[in-house]
Amino acid sequence: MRDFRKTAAVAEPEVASYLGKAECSDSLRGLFECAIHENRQGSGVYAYPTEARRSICGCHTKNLRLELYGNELRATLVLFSGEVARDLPVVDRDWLDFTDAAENRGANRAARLERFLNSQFQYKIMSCPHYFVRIGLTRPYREACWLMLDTLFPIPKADWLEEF
Amino acid sequence: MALRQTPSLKGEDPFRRIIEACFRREVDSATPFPNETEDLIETGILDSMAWVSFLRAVETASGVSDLGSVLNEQPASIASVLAALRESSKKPLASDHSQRGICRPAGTLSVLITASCSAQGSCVVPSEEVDRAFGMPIGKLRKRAGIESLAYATKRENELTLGAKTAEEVLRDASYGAQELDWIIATSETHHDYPALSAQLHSRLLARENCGALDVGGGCLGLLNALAVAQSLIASGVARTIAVVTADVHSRTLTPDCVAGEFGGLFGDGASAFLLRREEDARGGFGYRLGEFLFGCAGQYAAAIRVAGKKGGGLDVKFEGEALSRAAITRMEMVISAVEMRSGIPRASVGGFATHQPNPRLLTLLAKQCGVSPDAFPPICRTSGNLGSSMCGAALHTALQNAARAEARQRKPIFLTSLGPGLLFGGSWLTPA
Repeated sequence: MRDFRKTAAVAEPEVASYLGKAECSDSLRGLFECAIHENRQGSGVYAYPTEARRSICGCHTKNLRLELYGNELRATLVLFSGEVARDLPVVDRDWLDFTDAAENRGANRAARLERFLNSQFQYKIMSCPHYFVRIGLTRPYREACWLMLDTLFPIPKADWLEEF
Repeated sequence: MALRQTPSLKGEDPFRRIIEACFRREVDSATPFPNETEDLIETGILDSMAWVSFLRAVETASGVSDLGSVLNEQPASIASVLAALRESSKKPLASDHSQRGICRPAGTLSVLITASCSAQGSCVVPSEEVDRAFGMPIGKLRKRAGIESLAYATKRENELTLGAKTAEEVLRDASYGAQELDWIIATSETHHDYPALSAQLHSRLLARENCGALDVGGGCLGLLNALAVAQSLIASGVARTIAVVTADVHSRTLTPDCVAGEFGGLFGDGASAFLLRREEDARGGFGYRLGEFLFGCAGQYAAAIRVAGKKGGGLDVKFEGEALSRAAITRMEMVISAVEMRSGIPRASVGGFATHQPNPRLLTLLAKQCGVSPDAFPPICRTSGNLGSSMCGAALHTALQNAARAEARQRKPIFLTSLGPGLLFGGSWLTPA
């Protein structure tokens, strides 16, 4: 095995800025250069695997909300086009670790986490100068690739856990 | 506000019915209904996507809006969902969250539609003439949209005259005087003047001075918004008799010099009116009982239609016809499914579908998508065009008229469904009183 060593780190705002220079879209259709469909039965939105031209894309949103819903972390966002995407599964590891850590902090954790996501989260995320989101596609499942929240900048900080 | 747990006549538990129906949508038909206490995710019966999707479907069908939050830290089981629904139904209505949709507000007071009327613009124009006026190939509206003619207001007609005509007709039909009205609720997607339409109708009908006048918006969804407000006012006890009036005159604003024919050519002019009374106060005779309402907004389709005033006059219209058509059909079918589930009335036993009718071609498609006969949809738009907020009203009036011609015991329920830019959607049902 080769002896890899970390010699430098790119700061979070820079990473977000670099990612912003890659594919980015303000509209649902532009994300994967194909039509996005809503699940007629329940929730979630998807693209057809044969139509999607890529599997991940950055986007600027007008608003974003995270919600713990039936023990699952879900994101709802409104793009600059005014289009809304609801109930995207959040797969960003840092955010999942953060909510897991929050869940291990004593009683009423779900209620307290909900309160944090409804109040502090909005302030910390939406006011962050390098706020940035990337939407990805799942592997084909039920003949469709479902949209998911792949990356959310800023990355949550450990000290935020002290705030709820 | 959520569905209250009122067992149906057959004694079945409506919550269990909803849960079973929503679960069936997520799994293939061979999957047996799980043991109630089984954790659906741990056992692999549902994955996390399907679990959330299942809960959202249950929310829509039941009107309970905070299931996900209630079920945090609970097992992902049928028993948990059932318990959460039952718990929610016990909450006093006053504490209900405003986003839960509108239902039988006081739980007991029923509201009847006791009379209805609709009117179209008196000038009926063949669609070929409209093609010509908008500079489109002759026959385009007929071939592409299925529109044979359009009903346009004459010079003497406008939102007020058409609305007043229908309102006077319903009062006459039900033998009520305008002085008996407690509220006039008006909706229009084309009347933007002041005094507002409801105020003008108030004066025209000579209602009591202390009869309220209210305008509600929502574009083509306006009738459902107005009916829901009226139902709430009556059920809460602050009103006994309400006239709901719609009136739309598109032909003055969607003109060939303002908008493209593919958009402007679809619309006609019309009005409708309904008289609503508390069931206890109704004077007998014909009537249909209003069911619960469900509403929502599918923002992902917001870009498909946008209309804004231009500086210096004119209209700025963004209209993505194909995308909007797909969205409209998909969403109306979803609303019909939700109404079917919440009411417990199978669509096959519905006598009439009073839906928004963008154009005849889409109406046929909607019937096909829903798996019901196109004959159950009164074909108003074929001869009058899309009437905006009066479209659903005209269809509802025809469905009520058809029902009135039948023997009382043969009358069937009516489903209401409409859409508005946004994409707003709403649905409800009516049952014979």
